[in-house]
Amino acid sequence: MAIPLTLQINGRRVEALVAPVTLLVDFIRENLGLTGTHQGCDTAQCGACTVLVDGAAAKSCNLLVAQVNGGAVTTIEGLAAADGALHPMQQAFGRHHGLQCGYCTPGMVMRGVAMAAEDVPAEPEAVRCALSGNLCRCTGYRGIVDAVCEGLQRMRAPQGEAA
Amino acid sequence: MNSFEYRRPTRVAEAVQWLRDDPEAKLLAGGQSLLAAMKLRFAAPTLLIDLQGLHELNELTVLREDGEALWIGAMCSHAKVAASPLVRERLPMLAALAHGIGDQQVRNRGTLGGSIANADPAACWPAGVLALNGTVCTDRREIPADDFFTGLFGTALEPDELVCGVRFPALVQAHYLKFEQPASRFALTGVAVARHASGVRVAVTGLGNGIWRWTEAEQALASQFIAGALLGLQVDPAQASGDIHASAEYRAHLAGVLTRRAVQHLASQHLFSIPR
Amino acid sequence: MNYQGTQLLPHPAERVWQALLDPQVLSGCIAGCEQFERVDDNHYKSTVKISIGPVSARFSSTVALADVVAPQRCTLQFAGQGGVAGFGKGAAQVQLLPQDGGASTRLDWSAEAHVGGRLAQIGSRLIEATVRKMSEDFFLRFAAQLAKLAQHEAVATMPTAEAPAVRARPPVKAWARAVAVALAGGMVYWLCFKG
Repeated sequence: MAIPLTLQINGRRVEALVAPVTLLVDFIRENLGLTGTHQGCDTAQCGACTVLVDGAAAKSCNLLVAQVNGGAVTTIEGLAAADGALHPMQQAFGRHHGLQCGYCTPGMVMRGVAMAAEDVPAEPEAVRCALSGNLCRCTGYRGIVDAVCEGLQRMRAPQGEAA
Repeated sequence: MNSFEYRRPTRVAEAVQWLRDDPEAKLLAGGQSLLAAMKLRFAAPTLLIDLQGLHELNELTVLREDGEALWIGAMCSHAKVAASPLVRERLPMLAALAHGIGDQQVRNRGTLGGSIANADPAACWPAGVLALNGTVCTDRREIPADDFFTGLFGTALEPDELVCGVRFPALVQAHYLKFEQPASRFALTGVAVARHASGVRVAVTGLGNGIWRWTEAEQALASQFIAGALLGLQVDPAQASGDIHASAEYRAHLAGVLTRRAVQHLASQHLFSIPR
Repeated sequence: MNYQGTQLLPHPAERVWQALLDPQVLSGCIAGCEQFERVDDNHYKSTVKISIGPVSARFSSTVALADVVAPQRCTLQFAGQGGVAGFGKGAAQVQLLPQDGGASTRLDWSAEAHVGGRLAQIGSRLIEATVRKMSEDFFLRFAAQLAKLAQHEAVATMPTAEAPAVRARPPVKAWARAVAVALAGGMVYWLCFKG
């Protein structure tokens, strides 16, 4: 029996009728066509499916869309500004070569963005620890960690220069 | 997943009634264990009762009239407990324990109630609740920690019983150390040592058969709270079960090591009056 | 994998043997046993629903009896299917040894089994603990059933008109089946966690 949902996706109000079994990641990708969020393992280990739910990082493959009914979800597509300007975290990933194949990248970027609200220091050790729920098979993490450090700095001092 | 019905109750009594009406129904807290099992078709409940609408289960407060005990609601996420100024100030061991569970994405959704009701033999929360002598409060009664955990995935909960929260009494000091399985970050072995006014409690998780108190160590430490008091004491490997990650003997050995280190940490804190 | 265990039961070997022969007794010892059926004298099949933690799986198992020496020992060959959960097969040997001049009995069991399937892969960390728990549960219930049987026997031998009828003793095979089912259920589930 389908259930009615109302939620915010990247700031837009979305209404839908879905089967309760629908996972958030499938709703995002299939129902909304937002395929930036990736399914890497489907067992809540790799983090490629990471989105923000009410501002907090969550693995969308391990959440029912029904659970976020009434809530607000931000996906990788929701980071760039209206005029297309990339989010500071996205820019940092570009500058620091924080991706190779790009499969884990949306999850990494969303996780990085979420760290700002968690007060994670923009330091490699702290960032590595905070990234424990996101796996990358290509890069060896160095570029990712550098990118997240810079991204956090720019998010916290938007007017100023990166430290 | 097999299909199911989904409902969000607005009252605890409503949730309990739905559980009672359908023996194949399951409570949904954070869903971090349950949904994973359902996706693999290891579980196929006919109805999921999502508890997130029961805001009274998400409270985290000090019970001033109860000797300054700390109340943590069943639906409090691990992230909320880890970040709570109240918990960090009064029971910092619990904040650290919660912060060490899984990863941040899991911590943002997973809950105290879900963790203890599931009672995974490698979970961290049962060690914290048991060592700190928490009282599990359900919709119908209060269950002391010693009676709550009953073995492998075992709790004293009735099939239609709902955990509302845990009450943690004030204590002298406590520490939790976990030797992680590197991928899952579950406890290969985890030890929580707590010093109460009335004595010492040592709770060991990860041995395989459920949360366990090392009473021999507790008695030795009650006489003298130093790591040396544990000399010659060993956890019997018969208490543990082995698997591909670690043998029973290794887990028993780890339990001894972690207990000693936890005691060393606490003993030095006490000595130098480092704020806990 | 190999597993074994020993139980000391404060009952004469004959009572233990007869209890193990009794399908009613055994199905009462297996938590979640839903169905019990005799295929022929040496073969049985059953369905057991096992629930541990968030996992719930229904296993259909078959048991074949061999090398029966009443009332001492028997070999059970079992195979179980758990649907998507997985499958397993193996053999168990059960031996009864009288102790204390016949007043009590030592029950030795040993089993070896092979598993496969998803539950075995994902749940490998829980196999040994699950086998242990299921064996403990089984023998706890079995001891309780034995105690009840002993009570009935005691009452039955009392010379009163109200003495309850002594339960008829079923054939050897039923015991084998029941034990097999119990062990199969335990083993298969255990096996399904292996991986």
